[in-house]
Amino acid sequence: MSVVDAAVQGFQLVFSWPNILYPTAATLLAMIFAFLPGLSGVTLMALAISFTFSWDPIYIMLIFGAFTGGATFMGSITAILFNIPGSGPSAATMIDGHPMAMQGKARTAIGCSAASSALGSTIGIIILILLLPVLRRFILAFGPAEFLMLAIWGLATIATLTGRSLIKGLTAAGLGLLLSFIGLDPRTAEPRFTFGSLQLHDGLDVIPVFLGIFAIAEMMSLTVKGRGPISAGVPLSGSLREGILAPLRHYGLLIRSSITGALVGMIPAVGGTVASFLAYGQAVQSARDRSRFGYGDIRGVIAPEAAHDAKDGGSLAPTLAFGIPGSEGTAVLLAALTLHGFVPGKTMLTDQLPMAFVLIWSLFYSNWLTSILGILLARPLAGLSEIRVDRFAPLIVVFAVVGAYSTQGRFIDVIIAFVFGLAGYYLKKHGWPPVPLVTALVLGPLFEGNLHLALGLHQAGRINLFTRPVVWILLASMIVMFAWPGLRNLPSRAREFARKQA
Amino acid sequence: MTIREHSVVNLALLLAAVLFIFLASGLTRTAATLPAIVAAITMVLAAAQLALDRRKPPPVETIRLEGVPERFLTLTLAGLLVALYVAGFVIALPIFAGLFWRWRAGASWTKAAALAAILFALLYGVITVLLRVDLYPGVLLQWLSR
Repeated sequence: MSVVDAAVQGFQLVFSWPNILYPTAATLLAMIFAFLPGLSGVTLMALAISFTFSWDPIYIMLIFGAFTGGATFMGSITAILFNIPGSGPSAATMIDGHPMAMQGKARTAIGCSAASSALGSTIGIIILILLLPVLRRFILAFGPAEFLMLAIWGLATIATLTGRSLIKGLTAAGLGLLLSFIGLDPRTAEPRFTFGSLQLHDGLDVIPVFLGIFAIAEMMSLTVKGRGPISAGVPLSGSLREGILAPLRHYGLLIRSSITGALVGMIPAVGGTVASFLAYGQAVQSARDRSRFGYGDIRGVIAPEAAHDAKDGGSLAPTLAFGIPGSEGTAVLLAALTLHGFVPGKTMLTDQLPMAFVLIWSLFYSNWLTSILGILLARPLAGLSEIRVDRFAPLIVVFAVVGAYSTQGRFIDVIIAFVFGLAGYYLKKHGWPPVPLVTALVLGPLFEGNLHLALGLHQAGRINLFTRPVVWILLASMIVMFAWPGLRNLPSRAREFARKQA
Repeated sequence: MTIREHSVVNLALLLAAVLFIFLASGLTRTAATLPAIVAAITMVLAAAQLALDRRKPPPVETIRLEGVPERFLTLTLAGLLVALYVAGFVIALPIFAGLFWRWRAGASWTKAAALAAILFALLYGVITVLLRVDLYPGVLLQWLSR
């Protein structure tokens, strides 16, 4: 089946009655979760996995695509109105979005954010569709050695780019890898680190870990910080139309930021936060007049919002093609797909391509729906932020407990969720990023399985690890990525040295 | 010498890595090699971070914590875990949410009871009966039903 046929089939499946109800409902849920600070689409996805075990695969694609798209934009509303980022990537929007709100241009900022999100996501999806045929050929060149390098690259990338400390990021990734070794050894079937528990022979289930680290830990964090209303209200004002038209006026910036977002999204496990800040930095660097940035420049809203939403489309590429998550959200999405029998990789882009397009069109639909609703519901949605933290915290714990248990019907998963909730809270409190830990846990089996396979094939003379071009390309990318912070400062250091010498 | 809280977290990670090395020593060489290498690297990284923090301690957080005390919250979650094991989900979870609302969120008894009733209806009526998802019954109920 050609890509166009699959795209048309996927489109028909999404935009038919009653299928369209699923992404609509999922988008609304994702909007509520993403709007409340501390909660995110990832929390919702982790909670939803356990409730959707028996569902038909098409509905899984419909709701998870919508969860991914629906959660993206809404976090920006809290960032603009209350200076609270609903998600990591929204923090970049906050830099210029909140000053705009304080100047009485909240509606303009929200309109601009909504339009940039919708247009950015559309460009991101177009890039994804254009790359799909290339990805299919690319996959054929991938074997255990390349997958091993990809796993290492994903681990290295996320540990470097997430959090302020490289050492902390790498330590967290190391711990995640160690946790992924729990269970039977893939070669000898020997139980490792199971403490004699048969329930741990299959390894740690990622869902209770997600629920612990994202839902319980986040609730603890918010409940400890305060018990009053989440935020104080800021009146909405300004011209909505001016905001909606702004990305079209700055179309060059919109396209550049969207391409940045989509490409960063394709790098395994980098995440939307990096995409948003990269796009913001690029907007500042490319502007002639930089004086307004940080004080309510509308370009400072366009760039991160477009990149953030374009990232969703891009991050689906490594997820669908290689089974490697491109962000936190796609890490949970990957877990959901695997649990429902979808095999990321060649099968996903050949036999299951129409289903992949159901996911893509569902994401597209939810991105647009969220932006339209975001504009229409800006004022009433602001009222949700008046809910007190200590009122909704126990409810999230209740859903997390039920979600953790219902993945496999084992009480040990509830214990795991609580342990990771507490661990996640203290790790986050002291600046240890949880994302490398979770990603390493997800990538661990891929890393270990392909390491043994690649080394075995190399030793048997079936492949040569040192003559495979993709391995070298990935290795070079990894080295450049690590060396980049030092290389970037080299010219300024050289100038400083020359000045001192003179 | 006082040990700061951030150092305790760091030490816990260091000890976790040491524990993995110790446990790996009891495995066959094939199964132990990779975990031992990763644990050793993690241990070195955690030790390096510990040394860095000793030399230059991270700035103390200046945000005022006005919510539920951290220790209370930790103990509440531990208590909830025990309650879940003993009484099961359908009983423990609504009671936990209701009591949390009453005592920590300052809601009236009526509102707390209403929340508990809604959650009971959701857990028993919707999840157990309608969606046919078996929730953990608790050792007490299991013992009584023998």
